[in-house]
Amino acid sequence: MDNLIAARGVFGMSLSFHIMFAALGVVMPFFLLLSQGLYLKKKDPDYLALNKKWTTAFAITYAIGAVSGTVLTFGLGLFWPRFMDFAGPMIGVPLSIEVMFFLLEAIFLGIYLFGRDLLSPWVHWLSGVPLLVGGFASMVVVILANSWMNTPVGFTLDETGRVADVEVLRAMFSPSWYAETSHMTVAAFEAVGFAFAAVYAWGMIRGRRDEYHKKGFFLGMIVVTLAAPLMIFSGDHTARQLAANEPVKLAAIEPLYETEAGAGISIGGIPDNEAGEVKYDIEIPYMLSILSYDDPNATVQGLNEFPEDERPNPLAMWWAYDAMTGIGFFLAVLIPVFWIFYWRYRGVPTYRPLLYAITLSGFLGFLAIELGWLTTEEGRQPWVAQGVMRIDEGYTLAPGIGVAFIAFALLYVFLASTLIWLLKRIATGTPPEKEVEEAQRQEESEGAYAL
Amino acid sequence: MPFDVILAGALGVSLLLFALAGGADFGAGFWSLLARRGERAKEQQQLVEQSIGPLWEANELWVVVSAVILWSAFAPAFSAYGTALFIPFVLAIMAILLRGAFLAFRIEAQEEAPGAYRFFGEVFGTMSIVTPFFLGAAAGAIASGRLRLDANELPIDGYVQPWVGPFPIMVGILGVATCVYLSAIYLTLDASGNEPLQEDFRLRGILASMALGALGVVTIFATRADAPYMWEQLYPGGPGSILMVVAALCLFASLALLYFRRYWLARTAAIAQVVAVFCAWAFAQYPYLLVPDITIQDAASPRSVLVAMSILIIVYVVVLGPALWWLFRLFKSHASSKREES
Repeated sequence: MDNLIAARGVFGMSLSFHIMFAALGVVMPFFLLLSQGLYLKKKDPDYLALNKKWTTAFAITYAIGAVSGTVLTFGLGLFWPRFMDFAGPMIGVPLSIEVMFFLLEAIFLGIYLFGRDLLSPWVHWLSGVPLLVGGFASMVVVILANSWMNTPVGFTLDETGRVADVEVLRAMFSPSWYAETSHMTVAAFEAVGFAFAAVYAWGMIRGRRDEYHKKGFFLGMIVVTLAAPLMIFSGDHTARQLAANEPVKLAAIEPLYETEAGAGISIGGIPDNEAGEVKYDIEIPYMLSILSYDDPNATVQGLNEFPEDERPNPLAMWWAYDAMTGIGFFLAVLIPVFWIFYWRYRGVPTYRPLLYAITLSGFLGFLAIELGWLTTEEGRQPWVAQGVMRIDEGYTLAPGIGVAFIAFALLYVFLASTLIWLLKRIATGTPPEKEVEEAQRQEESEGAYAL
Repeated sequence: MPFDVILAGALGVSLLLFALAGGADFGAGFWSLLARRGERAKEQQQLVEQSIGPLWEANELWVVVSAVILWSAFAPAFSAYGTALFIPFVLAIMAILLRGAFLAFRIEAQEEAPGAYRFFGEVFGTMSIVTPFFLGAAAGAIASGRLRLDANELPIDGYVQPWVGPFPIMVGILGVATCVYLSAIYLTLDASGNEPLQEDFRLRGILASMALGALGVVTIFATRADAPYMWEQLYPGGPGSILMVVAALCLFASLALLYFRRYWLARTAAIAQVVAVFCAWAFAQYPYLLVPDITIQDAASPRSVLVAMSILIIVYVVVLGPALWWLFRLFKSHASSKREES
């Protein structure tokens, strides 16, 4: 296997694996705080039972996130040493901050796990706050590094092409930083919220209509209801950011082959690179110009503006972009539908088609994250740092990367299948009645706390 | 201020923390693997789980701190390690991935999937030995001078020869032995209150310190034969040899203290032993990041990055220090409340 392809393959697998746990690592603490806060306010043992179940699941997903993150940290040096040699000084600082917040999360995970029996309830709740802060901040700063790859600034090169000077803050906050960090964090909340709702929606389909399931389901829907409106703003801002700073990516994901005033948006269809047009699509006129520049007659740059060997291939990601947006709209519509049913049922709806749709959305949210990630990475090709370093200048020259690719592929399949098997055991393991009972017992025996 | 030297120091400290905290967790995996038969095998396994329990992620992440310091402040060295030592590092990260995941699986499987508990434990234990071996072998290759780079910064002798030699292999084995030794001694303290269990780990600690001593002696010969730059500093009577003498004395002290059942002091001596070995290593390798082709100064990033990273190190201490203190305090009261229960 060609080493470049193998290196990209290993990294693609590792990142698409890690990104799910990263999203869980940010949003699950929010769910822990939410459920525990509700329990402390309302003294309802269902919430405590949910909190305990989620703590167990979080301990596992956090561990996988931590080790797969370790793989990526070393992997950057192992699979992309020439890129790191060049870019280390610029993306190293945000990544070092990321590791600090990740460690903070790790330490407070320990405190939160030990603290349940040792801390007074509200102090225990407070010890979950740094968990959320650590997760959230580490996600933001790690995306700063990715945004630098898309819009690299803040450095000067000497005559040999080595980095001579770095403006640390400018490199950290490159032009795409805000669009990327806001888009990904909101996406994480939406995807994980739907995943939580989906677990209980599925339980309800299988006949469990108890309060425990209804509450778990409802909390998931609350979180997505808060996240979804933000997603509309974030998506809109991202389009404008692309037009301003990454025009070639925008042209490729549409795809727009020729520069056009009053450009429309094409939905579906098949891009034909040779003919330079999209076939069998539905076009909404002026829409691309409006979304990019707030002006129906604005000129949007097409792929023809860029040298042929510096264009991403639309076939690699136009479908991913369309699918991601499609999922986004589906999820956005599902939320008001849920509330209409909620109103009609005077409480958590048990209407089966709706429950099936929400179970499906639990997968779709994560799929949208993967597709969005694919879009932004493929849209930067053939560059590893846009306009500065090509991807074939960045990969390792060590031999045998193909073997590593196969080994990692087997490893991830093995890990993922074991994890899914175990999480399923946990989800169905202790029946909720028992958990609730136990929570009730704990509530009654107000113990003495060590600290 | 020589920010590059400060950051190289921070790199050393993060590696040391990894060895003292994460390393002991790897060693615990070894003991868990060995606890197969005997009446207290199950108790031993549980002790291992309790003592590394929810701390292990934080312990292991120190090596990630080392990696980010390396790539921010000394990117060319990181890149050279990643290329030339591709094989041991890839094997080490695969082992880290498997080990961490299966440890987490195992902790949950105890209640939810008892049938798989044993298998998860075998994977966790085996990978706990594999990881320090390959990390140690890579470190040995870096220090030995076996790894030389050509003009394109590619290894002259290929990708196997730099780390398959007497010194790197001995350092790999020594790495495993150090983890095993630290862990046994930590576990004697964690087992306090349960005398038979404590005696088990006392005996294991004594055996491990003897093994570590014997391996240390072998490593002296490997150093002379295979790591000339290290030997120049550390040969008996050489400028760095005093640190090696301190390390040997600490090792002996920990053995004696274990024998007399002074567990707290034994642990202190064991930690001092590892610190002394690290200081000796750092002293002998300074100012090289890759002996003898890349120095700290060669690889240092532009000054602005070094300043930013130095400030960040202070933030690390301020933010993580109190959090760690609280965690260990809770861990202690957790352990003592467990003891009261039993």
